[in-house]
Amino acid sequence: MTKIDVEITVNGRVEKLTVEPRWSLLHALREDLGLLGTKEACDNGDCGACTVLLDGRPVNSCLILAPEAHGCEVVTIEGLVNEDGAHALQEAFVEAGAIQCGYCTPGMILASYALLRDNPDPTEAEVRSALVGHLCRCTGYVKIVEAVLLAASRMVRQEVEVNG
Amino acid sequence: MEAVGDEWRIGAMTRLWEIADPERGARIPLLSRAAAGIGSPEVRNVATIGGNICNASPAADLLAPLLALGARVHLCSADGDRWLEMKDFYKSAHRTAIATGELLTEIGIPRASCESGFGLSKYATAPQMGMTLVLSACVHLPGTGAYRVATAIATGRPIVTEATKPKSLEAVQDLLTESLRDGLASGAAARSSCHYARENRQAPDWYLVRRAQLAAREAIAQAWEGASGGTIS
Repeated sequence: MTKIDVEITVNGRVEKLTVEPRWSLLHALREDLGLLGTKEACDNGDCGACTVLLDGRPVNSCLILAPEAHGCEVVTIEGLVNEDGAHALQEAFVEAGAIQCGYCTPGMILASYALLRDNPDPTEAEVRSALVGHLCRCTGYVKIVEAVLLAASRMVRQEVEVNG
Repeated sequence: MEAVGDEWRIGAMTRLWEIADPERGARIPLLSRAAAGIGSPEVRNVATIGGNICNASPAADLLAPLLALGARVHLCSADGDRWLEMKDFYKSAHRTAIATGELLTEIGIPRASCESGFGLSKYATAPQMGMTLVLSACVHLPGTGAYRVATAIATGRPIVTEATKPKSLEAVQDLLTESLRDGLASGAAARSSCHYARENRQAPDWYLVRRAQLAAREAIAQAWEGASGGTIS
């Protein structure tokens, strides 16, 4: 099959890829760029394990063709870590015990990141609604919701301390 | 989404999150509320209104609301273009009136049908991310005083019924839900042709028909309240 050139900004870095038109963004991220934090599970938009941010909005990367992402900005779980270390959400997931096998965690964290960016002080119902497209077969969601609320309270507190 | 004459026009590639957004979708609140109930945020960020109706899934949540709103669709091909009423667009499960070579480009919705009370009631296999089994949408048309209801058991064609200038809420509920019965029964019976409905066969046909009638009553009550100046929930 004829391949085509695409240019995608991934975690702040411009990546030039040559892809088959049928490849998903998930395939390009994992197989071409080696970003294995984005997980493949249902490949059908049902489980949320492959969630990334596309131009700031959470999407199932299994449902996006790689050529559709041409010219777009993508953030994967690897992009949340900065020089200060793990993101507050990542720390909260560890502290709250919101992880068992960890397979759903990258998608959960990216969806939560998008939620807290738009709504820094969500209710429990809003957290649950934001995560409705994510399946976890281990923890039963309670600790995951607690982790997001813990991260939100810390981020709000930090904001108050910095900005008064 | 833009105003053209007496219609709101929505491009076929408009994402569902834009329609569901309370601010952007405020002009067509019934459609906005229906879109907000589809899938997950991740799905709504990618899915389009054109995809939702062209796929013609019998569980598509936007078909009945668009029928209640009296929408029409614009189809284009190399040979020309045409407008088609929504009621003539959906043929059966996964079949539409789109001819070979045609593309859906936009949807037109009468502005008058977006300016009064509306209602939406849905019954799905799960509160969120579930497959819709029954959906009813109702619109009050202020010009004629009529109530138009589109109700679907998600295995068959949505049924559209209308009551002009009803005297009471109970009267319009009784009239419209009774007139739905035969169409809904044939929709329920069509489950053998629908793969996901076969997986939900534990609900007998009579139950789905009754559930759809209750959904229609609820949608009508919401529209009545909105048209009467009440709060639309």
